[in-house]
Amino acid sequence: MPSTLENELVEIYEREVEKLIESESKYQSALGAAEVSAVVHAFRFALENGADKVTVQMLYDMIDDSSGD
Amino acid sequence: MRLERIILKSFGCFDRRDFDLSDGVNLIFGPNFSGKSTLVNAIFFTLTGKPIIPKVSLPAMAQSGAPSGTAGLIFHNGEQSYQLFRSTQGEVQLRLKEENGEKWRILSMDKRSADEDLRQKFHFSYHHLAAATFLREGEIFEFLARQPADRRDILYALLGIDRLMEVRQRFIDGRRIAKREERRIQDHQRSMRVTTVKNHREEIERVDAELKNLEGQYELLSGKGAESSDTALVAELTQAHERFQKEIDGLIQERASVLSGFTDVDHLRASIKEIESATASTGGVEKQREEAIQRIGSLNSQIQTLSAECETLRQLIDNDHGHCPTCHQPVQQKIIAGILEEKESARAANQGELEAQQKTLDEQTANINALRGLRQRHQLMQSKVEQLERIEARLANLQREFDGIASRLGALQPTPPPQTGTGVDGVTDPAQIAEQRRQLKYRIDSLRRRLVGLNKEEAVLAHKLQELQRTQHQANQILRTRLSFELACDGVDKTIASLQQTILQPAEKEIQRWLERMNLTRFSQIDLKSQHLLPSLNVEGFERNLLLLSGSEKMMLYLCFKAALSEVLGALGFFVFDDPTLHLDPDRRGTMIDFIQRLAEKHQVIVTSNDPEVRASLPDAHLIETVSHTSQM
Repeated sequence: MPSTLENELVEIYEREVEKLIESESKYQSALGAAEVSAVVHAFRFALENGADKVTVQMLYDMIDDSSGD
Repeated sequence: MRLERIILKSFGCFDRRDFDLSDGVNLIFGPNFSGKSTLVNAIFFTLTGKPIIPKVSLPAMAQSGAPSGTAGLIFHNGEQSYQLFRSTQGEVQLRLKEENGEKWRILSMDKRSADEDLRQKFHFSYHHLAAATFLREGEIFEFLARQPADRRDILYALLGIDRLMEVRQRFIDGRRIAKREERRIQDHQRSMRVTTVKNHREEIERVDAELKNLEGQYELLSGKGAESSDTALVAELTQAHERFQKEIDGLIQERASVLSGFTDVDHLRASIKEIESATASTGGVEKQREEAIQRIGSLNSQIQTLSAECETLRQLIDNDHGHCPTCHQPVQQKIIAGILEEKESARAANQGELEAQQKTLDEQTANINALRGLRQRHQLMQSKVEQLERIEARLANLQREFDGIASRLGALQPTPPPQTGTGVDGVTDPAQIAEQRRQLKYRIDSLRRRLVGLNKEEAVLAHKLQELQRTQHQANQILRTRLSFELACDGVDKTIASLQQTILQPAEKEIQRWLERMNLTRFSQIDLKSQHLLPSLNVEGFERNLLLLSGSEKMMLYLCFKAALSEVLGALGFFVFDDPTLHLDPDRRGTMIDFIQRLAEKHQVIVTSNDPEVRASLPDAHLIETVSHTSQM
């Protein structure tokens, strides 16, 4: 997939995720900017390196690092 | 992208043939079995590596009898010219024309790299070509008959959503794993909470409160006890007095047992002194006895010697030969008799002394035995004296304390008991107060021990609490991770929907535009999303299924759909339609010709037909005539 298309996809994805977190109460109450960032990063990582490279531990660590606790 | 030439070698019905193409409309015209569809297939196969009709094997596309067939294209993209060849055995070669225009440089020679180059340079895919660029015979009916899931797959492939679906599936897997982990942590938390519920905080607080209460009571009781201290003291002293008395009685009994016949310890000591003096006077008895034993031994030995000599002398006297049997000297009887008499006299003297010594020895042995008995008795009496001294000392101490208590008791007895001092529950008796204090003290000590134990357990619980907090952090973290995966999944769904909206909405408008151009205005609304690419129509206010339209309307709408889809996906610059006017009546055929010509205003269009009317209707088209191979034979 050309990188420009990937970038467009990631932009669309980020917009949609931000909309979701604002509209869905289950996300609003538990998740924040750190999680959005981690999710978007995981999405981009999956597009660039293959979906199978995304792991639970990766997202867990990203959220843990971002939360700083 | 503009196609310039089709190059065939042992492909389909063609042995070796090149077909030049031009801009605008290219009409491949010929009767049945003349290879029109083969040319369409050749273009499709060259670009995609797959036959345009699914399930046809690659070797089957080669000319009959030939081991392999090759299809090739020369095409332009911008200023660049390319050659692309594919064989039915899977070989592929992509070449780029050098800038000097004379030589071709090979860009890629294997299928993977060639396909990747084509995708990178020209941005097309199999699905793009199949859905938006080519029209093959019978395609529309196959498309209409497809299951919604198949159409959705095609749509996803066209929009690049298939990769998003892989990502989505991965996120779903992640969510499932996170959920499983979440359950595991929750179970762990529950097991820890059971322990935590049993924490001793409340118990500690309760015991602590009770302890303070009891300590307060104890202090209060001590204060009140102080007010009646004499009474309490009397009670305590009385108890001590009794205890000492018992102890003294025990010691006196023990002393009497130790004395056993002696009046007192002085008597015992006097007896010891007598024994000591008696034993001291017999100090040389053992030595004398030793000397007597030695003397007796010596006397026995002398007596034996003398007896032997006397015997020898008697034998000499009794010998008849008058000579010594040893030295053979003559024996004088009188002299020998005189010697014998002396010897016997000496032996008798020794025998007398021996008997006297023997008597003395017996006496000395008896004395020594008596002396040993005295010494043993002396040791026994000595230990008794020591025992008695200890008893006496203990008795003296006890007696002093006893006397002290007695004197204090004597001093206290006249004091009347205090009237103000009361114990718990209004108890006034000092003994009862003392008993209450003792009981309180016991309970306080017991509670303190309990409190120490509880605090230890609480420390263990505190450690567990830390573990619980750590687990809680993990639980929060995994919850956020799981929710993040859910968010990621939902985000992909929304992105897919957004992509469809972004791409399909313009496509719907584009179809609408084409239909208006072709005066097919009764389709007031086109929806490509609801049924995954299958156009859903609103005809004069009613939803109409594409299947229910007439054949010509289906074809017109389908080609408009392709043109629109091509536009929104990124037009490649050419279309290839295999006999699009088949089964159309003259009016509809005219509309179709009009559509093709309008399309050719911006794109290269390659159409096939065997209809002379079509040929006549496209006088400006670049004509590629094919001839029937059956007639050739």
